[in-house]
Amino acid sequence: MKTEFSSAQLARVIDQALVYQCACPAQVCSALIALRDLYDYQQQCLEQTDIDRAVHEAIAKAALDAHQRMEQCLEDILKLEDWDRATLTMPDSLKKRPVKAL
Amino acid sequence: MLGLIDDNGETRKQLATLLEANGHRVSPFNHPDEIAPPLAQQAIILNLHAHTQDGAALCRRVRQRAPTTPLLLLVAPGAPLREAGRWMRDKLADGVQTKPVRLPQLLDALTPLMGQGQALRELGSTLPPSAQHRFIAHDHAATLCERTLLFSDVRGSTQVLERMQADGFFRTLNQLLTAQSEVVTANFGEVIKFTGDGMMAAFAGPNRVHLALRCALALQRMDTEVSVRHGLRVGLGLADGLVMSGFVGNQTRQQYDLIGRTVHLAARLCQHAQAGQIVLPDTDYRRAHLPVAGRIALGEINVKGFDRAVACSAIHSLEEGVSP
Repeated sequence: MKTEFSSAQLARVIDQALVYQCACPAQVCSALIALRDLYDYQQQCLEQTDIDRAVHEAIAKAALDAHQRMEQCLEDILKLEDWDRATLTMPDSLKKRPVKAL
Repeated sequence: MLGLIDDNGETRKQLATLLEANGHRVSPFNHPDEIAPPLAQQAIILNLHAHTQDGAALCRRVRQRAPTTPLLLLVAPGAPLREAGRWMRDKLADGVQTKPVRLPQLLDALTPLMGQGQALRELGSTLPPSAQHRFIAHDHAATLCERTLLFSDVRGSTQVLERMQADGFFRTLNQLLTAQSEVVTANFGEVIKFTGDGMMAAFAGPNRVHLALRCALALQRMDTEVSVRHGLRVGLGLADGLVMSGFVGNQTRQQYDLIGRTVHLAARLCQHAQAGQIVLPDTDYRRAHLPVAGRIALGEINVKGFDRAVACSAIHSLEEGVSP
């Protein structure tokens, strides 16, 4: 699976979001991790019949398509929220949001 | 009271603020090494930054610093969450929440952990850490296990009592036992019980003999420090082997204990030791892989209750000669 964001980069975004109130990019990262897990899982499945093979191909294609779209989505929302793309650092305005929401 | 470990100052502050706003008192820490006794925390939260931290090592460190305080991990999904599952199975953590954290779920997860932590804290004064979880789980079955036993005992306490008031003696003795317990914990052992004017500690795991001897040497060094021993001198005995662990007593009062030949042998060797001396079987000295100066072979010692004599060594303090 070709990836634009490494697992460590996704974990970094999630770590900074921390709590649910400002977690939209983190939720996208979680979805990406789940798609990678799904892709890896079907890769390791047994293929004893033609149907097995077809099922896994269908899952792989859908996972790859969804993964590509969600990675692009993450790229877009990081830009919209003005994250530092190089260091994947959350902007200060977003960091204060969960505390203000109390 | 909650402990919160997070090496990121911003997320630590954010989490502490959210928890405090929900009625919790929070002690923030940058690293587990900052946790110090007396432990007031009913539970500890570790916000793990998996891409920069060794989670397993951090969990182990928390367990060493706060062995009976329930630990809740906050981890990212994916590989860090799968690893956290393994740590849970290895009893390195007691709960896991996936980031980003939903506050109501975090608070729900904390409630039973804090209850468990409070119960363990209340048991803490009567049971060693390894027995507390068993007691809570009503697991009173006796088990057979390998341990290295280390006994310490004050020499000449009767004479000391003659020149001290009773309350002063107890205060001094408790200071000494507290200092000894800290040395045991620092060497990854646990105090099983206090035995009048001494203690019985146990060490587990493949390096247990090494750890026990290292601990005994540290206690021996402490015995030369006038400021610590306050006129009380101790002898030390050590032996390794199989022991039975379980709860001893009647229906209304029980205590956790280790029993068996190894316990008996370690206790006898402790009695044999002179002030400032460690006595141990030669076989255990060799297995410790810890060469020490000041060791002399005692030859075979007849130990009461043992059919055959046991070849033993005594280790003298190199700093002996300090005035009592």
